[in-house]
Amino acid sequence: MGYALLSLGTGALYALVATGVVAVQRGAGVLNMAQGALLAWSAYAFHGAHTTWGLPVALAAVLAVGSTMAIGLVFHHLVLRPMRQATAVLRLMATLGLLIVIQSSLTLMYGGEVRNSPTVLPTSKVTLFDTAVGLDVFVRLAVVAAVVAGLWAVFRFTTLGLAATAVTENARAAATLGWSPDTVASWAWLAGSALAGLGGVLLAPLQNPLSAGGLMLLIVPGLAVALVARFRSLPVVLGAALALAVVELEIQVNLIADHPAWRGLDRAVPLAVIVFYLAVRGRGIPDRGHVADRHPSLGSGRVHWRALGITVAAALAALWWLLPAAWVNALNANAIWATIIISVVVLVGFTGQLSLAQLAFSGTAALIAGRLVAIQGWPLEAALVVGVAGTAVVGVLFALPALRTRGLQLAVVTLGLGAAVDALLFQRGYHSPAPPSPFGDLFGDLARLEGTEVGDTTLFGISLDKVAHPRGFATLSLLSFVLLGLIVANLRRGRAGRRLIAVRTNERAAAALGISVVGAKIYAFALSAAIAGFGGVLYAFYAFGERGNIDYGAGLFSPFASILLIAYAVVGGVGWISGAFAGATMAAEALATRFGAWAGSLLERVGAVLRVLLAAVAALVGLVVGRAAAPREQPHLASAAAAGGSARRGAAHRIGRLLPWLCAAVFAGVALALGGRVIDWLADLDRYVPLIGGLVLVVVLSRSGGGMAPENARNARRVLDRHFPRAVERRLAADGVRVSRLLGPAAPAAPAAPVAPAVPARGADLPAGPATGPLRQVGAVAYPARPATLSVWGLSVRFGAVEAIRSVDLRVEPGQIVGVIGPNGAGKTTVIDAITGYTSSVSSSLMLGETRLDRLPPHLRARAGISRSFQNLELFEDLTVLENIQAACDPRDARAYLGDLVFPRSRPLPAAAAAAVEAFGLREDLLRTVSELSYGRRRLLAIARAVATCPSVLLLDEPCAGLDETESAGVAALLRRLADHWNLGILLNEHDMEVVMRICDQIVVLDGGEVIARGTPGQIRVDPRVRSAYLGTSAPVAAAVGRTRQ
Amino acid sequence: MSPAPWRRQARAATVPTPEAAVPASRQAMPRQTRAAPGTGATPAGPGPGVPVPVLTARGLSAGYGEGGPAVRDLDLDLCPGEIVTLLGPNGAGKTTTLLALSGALRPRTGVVRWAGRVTTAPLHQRARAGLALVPEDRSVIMELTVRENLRLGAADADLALETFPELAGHLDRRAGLLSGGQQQMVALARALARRPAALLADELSLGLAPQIAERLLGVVRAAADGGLAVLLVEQHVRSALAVADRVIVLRHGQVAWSGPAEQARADPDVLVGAYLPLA
Repeated sequence: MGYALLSLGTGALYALVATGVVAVQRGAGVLNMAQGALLAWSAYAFHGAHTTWGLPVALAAVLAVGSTMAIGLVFHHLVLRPMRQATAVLRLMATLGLLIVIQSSLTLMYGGEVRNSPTVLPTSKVTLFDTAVGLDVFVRLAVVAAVVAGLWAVFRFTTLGLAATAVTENARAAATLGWSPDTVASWAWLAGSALAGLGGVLLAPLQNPLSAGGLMLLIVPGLAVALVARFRSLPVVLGAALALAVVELEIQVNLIADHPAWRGLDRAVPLAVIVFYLAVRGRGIPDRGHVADRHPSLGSGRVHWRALGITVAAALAALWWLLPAAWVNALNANAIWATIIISVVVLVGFTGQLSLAQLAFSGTAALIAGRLVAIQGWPLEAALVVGVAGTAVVGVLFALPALRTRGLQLAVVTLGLGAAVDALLFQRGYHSPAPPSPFGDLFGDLARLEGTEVGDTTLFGISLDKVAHPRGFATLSLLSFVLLGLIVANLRRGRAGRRLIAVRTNERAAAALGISVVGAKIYAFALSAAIAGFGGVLYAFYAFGERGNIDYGAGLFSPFASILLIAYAVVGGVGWISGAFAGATMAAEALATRFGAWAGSLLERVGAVLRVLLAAVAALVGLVVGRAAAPREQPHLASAAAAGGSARRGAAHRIGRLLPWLCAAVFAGVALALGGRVIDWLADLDRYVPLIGGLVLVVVLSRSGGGMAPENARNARRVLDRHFPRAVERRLAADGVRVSRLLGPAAPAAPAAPVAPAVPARGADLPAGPATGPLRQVGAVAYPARPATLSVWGLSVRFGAVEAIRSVDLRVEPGQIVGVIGPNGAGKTTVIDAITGYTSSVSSSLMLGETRLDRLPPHLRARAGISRSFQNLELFEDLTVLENIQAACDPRDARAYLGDLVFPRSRPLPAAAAAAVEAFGLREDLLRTVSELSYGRRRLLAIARAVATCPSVLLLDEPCAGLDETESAGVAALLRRLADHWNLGILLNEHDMEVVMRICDQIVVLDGGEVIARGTPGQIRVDPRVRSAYLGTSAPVAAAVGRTRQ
Repeated sequence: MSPAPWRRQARAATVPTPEAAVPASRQAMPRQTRAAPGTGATPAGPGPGVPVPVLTARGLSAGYGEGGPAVRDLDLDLCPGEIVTLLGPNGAGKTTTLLALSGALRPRTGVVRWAGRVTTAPLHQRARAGLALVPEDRSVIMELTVRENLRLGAADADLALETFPELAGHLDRRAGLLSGGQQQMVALARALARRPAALLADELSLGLAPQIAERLLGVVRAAADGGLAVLLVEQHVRSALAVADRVIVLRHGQVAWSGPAEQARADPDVLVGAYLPLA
C-alpha cells in the first residue's frame, strides 16, 4: 500500500501524457508520437529559462508551456494541415519527424551536462501507511486529476468537445453542421501540447535528472493507457495510468529487488498492455471500407551492373589509396547503416509493415553474437550465424502481433516491443557484478567490471577495429552492403518479392490472388530481422570494436535510434535499395556528418577570407537593389520637374545617384556583422545533421515525395540518355527481349476480318492501341480452361443484428454469365464477398465442382479456382502491368522465399496469363506501371489479372463502373467472349442494365438481401416484381403527402 | 397536425427569396461572421414574386481520383419552395452532384452559385451560410445523444421536436442506440432545425421501412411548402415522384430527362426508358 502511494506521481505523469495523446487523437485524428518529446521540450525549456536565464519560476513555467503550445500549433498548421489527405500512417511518421527535431534540438541546446528541473512544489513529507511520501506527490496528483476532469468536461459538455467527437466519427457530417475539421484539430493540438507543457513543468522533476530520451519514451506507457481507454474515456485514462504505475512499482519492489535477473520487466508492462489490446483485438483482413493507402514509390530492383561495378571499384580505390582515416570510417558507418536500412526497405518499403523496432533486431543479434564470443569463445563467424538466425526467430515472434494489426497499430506495437527489448535486454548492464541467476553466464552477468569482452575480433580474417584497421573493416562493410543489396534486389524482382508487394498494396487483393498474407508477413519480418541483425553485429563492433568490449546499453539500439532509422530510410526513399545508402548518409558518424565537420573546419580556416568575400557579394547585391529602387529619370517626368523648379530636382537626383552606393554599404556592413555568426554556426554543421534529418523527413512527408533515391534514379537516367543516345535504344531492345522471353514472340497481326462485327468499336477516347484487338483475339488464343460449376445454396450473411443477405441460391456453370442486379444496398457485393470468403457467412452448401469452399480462407478459395475483381480495382499501383499479371499467376511455393534471394528466375508466363495478356491487348503496356495507364485500361487490367489466375469462375464486381457507354459496351463484349470461347463461368454484379441485359444468360434480382426474381433477360424484362423493386410503390407516400398538405 | 414550423419562417419573409431565407438562417448561427465571402450577402436579384434560385450550377463536372468525371456538364437551378428530385441508376452521378453542389467535393469544371454569388467555399462554410446536407451514410453522430446532436448543429431543439414529436422520449439516448428510422429522423430534424435556405438530401429512405420513408418525405414536402429549396436524391422512384415538383434523371453522369414531376407521375414510362432500360 505504501509503495502504491509512491507510484502516484508516476501515475499522474502517465495520465497527463495519455490525456494529451487522447486529446490530439480525438480532435485531430493524429496519433501523436511526439507527445513525450513535447513534454521533454517543456521540461528543458523550464529548466533553461529558470536556471540559465535566471527568470523567476512562474515566468519560466509560462514560457515553457507557451513555447510547447506554439510548437504544437505551428506543427499542426505547417505540416499536418497540408497532409490532410495523407494516410494516418504518414501523419504518424510526420509526428516522428517532430519527435526527432525536438530531440535533436534538445541535444544541441542542452546536451552533455546533468540537468535538474527546478522544484515548484512543497518538499515536506507526510507519513501514510508507514511510508514517508512527499507532499508534492499529492499536489501533482490533484492538479492532474483536475486537468483531466476539466478536459473531460470540455469533451462532454462544450459544443467544441462534442464537435471533436463528431469530427473524429464522421468528418463530413460534422462539416454539414458548420464545423471545420481544421478548427477542431487546431484546438486539439493546442490542448494536447498544453498538456505536454504542463507535464514538463509539473511532473518532469519526478524524473530528475532530466533525460530527453527517457521523457520521450513516456509515449509508450502513454499509448498503453490511451489504448485501455480506447482513445476516448478520460476517467479511464486516469484510472489506468495510476494502475499501470502501481503495477510497475510493485514489480520493481517485489520482484526485481529480490531477483535482479528480471531487471527491466517493469518497463515491459506497457508493452504487454499494448499487445493484449491490439493484437488480441486485431482482425485478419481489413473491411470493405478500408481505404487503400498510397505507398512510397518502389525501385524496379534491376541492377545496373556497369554502374554498380564502376561505383564499387571507385569506392574501394578511394578507400585504400585516397581517403584519410576519418573519411574511411565515415564510409564504413554509412555502409553499416545502409545495411540496417535495407532491412527497413524489405519490411516497410516492400511489405508495408511500419516497424519502429528495427534496431532491437540489430541489438539482439549483436548481443547473441557478442555473448557467444565473450563467454563461449566462439569465432565471430559462427557467432554471427547463430546471432542472425536467432534474430530471424525473434523477427517471427515480432511478426505475430503484425498478423493481426497493421498501420498505426503495428507502429504502436513495435514501438512498445522496441522499448521493452531495450529495457529487458540492453539496459541490464552486462558489465556489473551481479548475484547468481538461473540463466547462467550467457544471459546473466559476468563477474567483471568490463562490458562484454570480445577482445580483438576478426571476421573472415579482417580485424573489426576501426582505429587500427579502418580500411579493411570499411571494405568488409561496403562489400557486405553491396552483397545484401544484390540479394534484396533479387527478392524485389522475384515472385517472393511480388507477394510482399501485393500484401503491402492490399491484403484483400493479395488474398484474392491466392497469396498467403500470413506467410508473406512472417517471411518479411524474419528476413528483415536477419538483415538488421547482420548489420547490428557490424554496428556493435564499429562502435566498440577498438575497445574490445561491447556496451549494449549505450543507446546504440534504443527505440529512438529505431525511429531515426525509419526517418533516414524514408528520406532516402524507402522502396529503393540505392535509397538505403543515400538515407544512411545522414546517420550518426556517416558521410553527411563527416562532410559537415569537414566543411565546418574548412570554413573556420578560411573564415576571414570568407567574411570579406561575403561582404563583397553583399555589397554587389546592395548595389543592384539600390539601382532598382532608385527613381528613374523619365522624359515626361523630367519636363514636369523642370517646371517645378530645379532645386528639388537636383536633390532627388543626388539621392537617386547615391542610393545604390548607400545600399551597397549597408548590405556589406550587415554581411560583415552577421557573417561571423553564420560562419560560427556553419562550423558546427556536423552537430546539426540529425536535426536537419528530422526537418528533411517532415518536408519529404508533407510534400509526399518519395525521398532521394527516385529523384536520383530519374536524374541519372536523364544524364545517361542525353550523353549516350544509344542507351535508350539498348533499353528498349532489352525490354523487348524480356517481354518475348516471358511471353513468346509477338503474335502475328490479327486477321483483318473481325470475328464480331456486331460489337461496336471501342471508344475513340481510349489511347491508341489495339482498339478492337482484345475482342478479336479472345477466340484466337488458346486458354487452358479448367471448367467447374459454382453452386451456392442457402447463403446468408449477418452484420450484427442486420441480415444483409438471406438464403441466396446461385449456380454458375462453365461458359455461363449470371448477372446479379438489384437496387442500392440490395446485397450484391456482399454476395461476392461471402462466396470469396471476405465476410463470414452461413450456407447449406458452397461448392466449386467437387471442392467445398465454405471452410477455406480467402486465399485458398482463390487457389481452388474462383477469382474476383473489386469495385475499386485494387490493382498494385506501383508495379508494372507485367508484375500485376505475374503476381496473379506465380506459383505459390514456399521455396521461392529462399531461392529468389539468390536466383530470381523469371520463367515464361503460364498459358492462362499469356492468353489473358494477348486477349486483353496488354502486350505493349506490359512494362508500364499501373499509374501510367488510363482508367479504361486499368479496368481491363483488373479483369485480366483475375483471368490470369486461371480460374474456373470469375466474380466481377461492377467491371463497368466509371466507364462511358462505348467503353462499357467493349467490356461487355469481351466478357461474353471469355464465356463463349474460354468456357469461363462469370458472376457479374453490374448496375449498367444495358450491359446486363445484353450479355447475361441468367439474371438474379436481389432486393433487401433476398432473391426476388430470377430468369433469362427476357423473363426479367417483363417481371413486375423487378419493376417495383426499382421503381418502388407509390400508394402510401402519396397518401402521406396528402395528409401533410391538409 | 400542427402547422409546419417553416410556415412561420415563410410568413416572416413574405417573399421566399434567398435574400429573406439566408439571413433568417444566419440568426440561428452566431459563428456566421466567418462565412466565406460570396456565400451570404445580398445578391442583386430580380424583383419580388419572381423565384430566384438559391443554388445554381452551370456546366458542372465532378469526379473522384483519376477516373473520368462522374457528372458531366450539369446545369441545375434550385428555387425556394420547390423539390427537385434527382433520379437515376446506381453510379449515374447523383451523389456526386450533391457533393459537388454542397462543397464536399471540388468540381472539376463549372460554376456553383449560392444566393446568386459564385462560391468555392468548403462544405462547413456553406453549411453556416444556410445550406443543409444530409449525406447518404447515416450522418448522426452515433456516440452523442440526440440532444447533443441537435446542439452540435446549432439546431433549435424545440423546432426539431415539433417536427418529429416521436423523438421526444429519446432526447438523452445515444444516437447509436436508436433505430435506423429514428436516426434518419434526427439527421433530418437536425438539418431542418438549423432553418436552412436549401436542403440537399441523399437517399433519405435508404434501408428504411416504407412508413418511415413516407414520414420523412412528408416532412420534407412540408418544409418545402414553407419556402425551403430541396434537392432530393432517391432510388425509390415512386415515393420520390410523389413529393417532387421537378424531376431530373441522370444517366452516365448526364441529364437523360428532365421535366415537371406531374408529367412523370402521369406517365412513369417516360422515366423507364431513361432509367431502367428493360425493354
